[in-house]
Amino acid sequence: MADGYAPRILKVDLTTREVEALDTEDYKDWGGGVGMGAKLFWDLVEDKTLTDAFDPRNVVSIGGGAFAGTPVPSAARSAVAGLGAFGYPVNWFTTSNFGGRFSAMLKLAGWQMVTVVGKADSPVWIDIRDDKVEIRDAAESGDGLWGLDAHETQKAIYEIHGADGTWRSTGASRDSGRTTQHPAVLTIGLAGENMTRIASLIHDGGSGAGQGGFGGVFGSKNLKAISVIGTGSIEVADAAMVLDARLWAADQYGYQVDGLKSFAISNPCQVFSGMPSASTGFGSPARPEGCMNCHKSCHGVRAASGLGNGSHCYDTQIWQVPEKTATGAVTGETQGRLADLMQALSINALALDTAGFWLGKLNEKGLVGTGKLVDTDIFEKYTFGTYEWAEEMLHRMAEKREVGELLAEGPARAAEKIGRLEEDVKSGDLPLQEWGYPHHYDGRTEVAWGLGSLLSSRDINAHDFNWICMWTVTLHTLYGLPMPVEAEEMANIIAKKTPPYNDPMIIDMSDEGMYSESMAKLVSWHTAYYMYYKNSMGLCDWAYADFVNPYGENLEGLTGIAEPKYVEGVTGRVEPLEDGIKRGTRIWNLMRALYILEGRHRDQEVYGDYMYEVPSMPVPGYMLMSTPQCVPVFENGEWSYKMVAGRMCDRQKTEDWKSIYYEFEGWDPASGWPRRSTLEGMDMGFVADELEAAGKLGA
Amino acid sequence: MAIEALTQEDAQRFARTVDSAQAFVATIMSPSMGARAAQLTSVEMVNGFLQAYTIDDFKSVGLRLDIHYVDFGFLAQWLDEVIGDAGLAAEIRALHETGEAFGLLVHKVKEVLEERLVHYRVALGEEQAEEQLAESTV
Repeated sequence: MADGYAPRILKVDLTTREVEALDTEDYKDWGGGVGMGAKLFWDLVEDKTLTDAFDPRNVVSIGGGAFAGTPVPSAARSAVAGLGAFGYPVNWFTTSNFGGRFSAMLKLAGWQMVTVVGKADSPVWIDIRDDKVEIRDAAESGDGLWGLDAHETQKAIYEIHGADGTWRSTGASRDSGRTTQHPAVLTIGLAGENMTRIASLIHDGGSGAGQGGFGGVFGSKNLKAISVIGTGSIEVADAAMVLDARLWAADQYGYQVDGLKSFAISNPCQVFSGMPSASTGFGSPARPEGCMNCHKSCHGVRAASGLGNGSHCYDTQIWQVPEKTATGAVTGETQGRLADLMQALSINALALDTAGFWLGKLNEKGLVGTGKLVDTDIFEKYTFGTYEWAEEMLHRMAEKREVGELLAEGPARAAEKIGRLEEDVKSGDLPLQEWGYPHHYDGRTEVAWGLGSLLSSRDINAHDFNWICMWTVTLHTLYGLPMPVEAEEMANIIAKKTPPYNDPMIIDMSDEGMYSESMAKLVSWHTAYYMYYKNSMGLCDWAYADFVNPYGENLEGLTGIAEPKYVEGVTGRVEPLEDGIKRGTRIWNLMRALYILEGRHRDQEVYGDYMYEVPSMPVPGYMLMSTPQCVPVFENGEWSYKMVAGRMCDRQKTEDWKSIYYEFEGWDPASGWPRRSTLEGMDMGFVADELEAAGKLGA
Repeated sequence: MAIEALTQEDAQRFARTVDSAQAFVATIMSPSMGARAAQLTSVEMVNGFLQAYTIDDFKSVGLRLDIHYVDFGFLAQWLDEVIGDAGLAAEIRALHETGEAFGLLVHKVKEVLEERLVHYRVALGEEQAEEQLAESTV
């Protein structure tokens, strides 16, 4: 029966330059994307103690899930899975993802995923045209892609394909064998070619897998790009049901031009029901643009070229603080041009932000300058905060030139190299919350984000509870507006939508609630949800989970109702949300086993010291990350919303909570390692066997 | 505003740029970026940092919404203890103690700051004001 999956997984061995088709059937249980990527890594990497992302034995898989390329709304994400070069202290197995068209186009070509193993002995790119796969010369001797930036590379590949918007034939296929589309290209710029740990993977205009350091991994494999054009189709179990589900979702829960409903202020944070995003910030004209099949289109295309067209995430905002404090203004010109440059060079925006913040602090201490601890002339030649400073820094990092050579290693390794890591993380001058990743959302206040990241291998960047529990509440509080839902109602709605726990207390983010068993349920449910429905099946983080929705009956969002509809329509599988959560938990346990084989122990799962020692509130004399976050709390027998700024994490209570969580997941609290019974209960005896052989099975 | 008239000497002190160790720390928060700390080293800079947005601005901004947040209680403390402008600090503190929401107060705080900056300019004289206040924003 058709089930939304493309029939084969493409395995490309760059060392032998051979390609092989694996049977997707063997991997469907894992959903797609991250789930399939984790299982492919498990199957194809013999030595799972490997922790060097640049080792040719690293296996990187890219692709989407069953939903990609179907009418399921906001389901075009492509996942990347493998050892990521950014992680600290070792390169854990990790994941990243991006929007656009790549995973859908891959399926239209007949491939569910593409898995890259080995290392080419000279620069190459992979050219996929339906079932024809060619490993081509990317060097000057061949197609001349090596050395081009990410935009130029895509354009060059379009030209190689003769893609000009007219009909072209790629050969006979089950469907037409014809297309007007550009190939979907995933590529790197200079930062990737030079194997920096801060390099991203870039696709189309503005889509990119930023976190994880996979751009450098492509560079280490001498892989410039993967291009795919497909002319086939994606067969689903019940096309009418999928279309009905899309129309139902869009009509009942999506924005309505006639009869617009909105929370008092937070339309931008209405995840599924928000308006298409046309703006680039206040006052700059643009039009909406979206990923394939998205109902919402949150990317923006500006009126002017060269201003981050298609970019919509923090690459368009990351230089706001330096520019504002240096020049007194934030300009679309600077932010947009920098977004374009970061994309062209393939640099993760957080790397620029962190480098600027940290070097700024060291500069104030007199530690930066020619002949000093951080030996650089950049502060002498350029004014910090300006476009010119940032442009120069980006080039130095991409080229590993001057101070860029240090910073290309990522902030944790750079600080370690100059002997500043411990001191600067402790003070918050270098706010690395976990695993060497820059502070993004604050685990001191937004507990689930922090704890989820601590147990993972990177900043989780999963906004599910962040939109409604923090952003919506904070915005309405800051602007004195009535809440869309009161705290108790929110707790009850979310309880209803988070089976099997159905516990209203999971969103209690009070000083007590943040260390409770209910918080363990929240972290467990959240991780399983985003691992399966989002990172594996392909739903977008900027549209799901949708808990509270102004269009919904009793303000209830579509989460819990929509996902099973999509799964049944696409795969034919009747799968209530609770069963989807089980699938996510299984993926999470497989990833956990990979971390453990890579050396993970509970003792390592601690935040950067500033999280325990510096309050999350600005005070004169401290320069630290802070935010006026307001969240739901249950105190003195009552629900309310409360600003929890100023809070720190308690070291001992965090440790105690970890024990609760490990026990909740069926892992050994002494080590954080899964027990055999837990793994066998998920039909993963093969994982238990390998952990046992390594002496790392939970007691 | 009922803040006392300034001597030129006071205005020079209040309008100065402090070093980074004494900076006031504010926050820019946005959905994609999370929160980032901003170091503000003068009264002029604090005023420039604050955005007098209305609710309608947020409705039209899409996902690139950002909030330039200042805790006005801490701001009053900083103005008192670091800048030394007790009169301005008292005005801000009084606004803060009304308990009004940040988004409503920010307009009033900006009005107070802007009026006080006029006081600085008057006391400093045109030429010196231009030099000193311009310096404090860069």
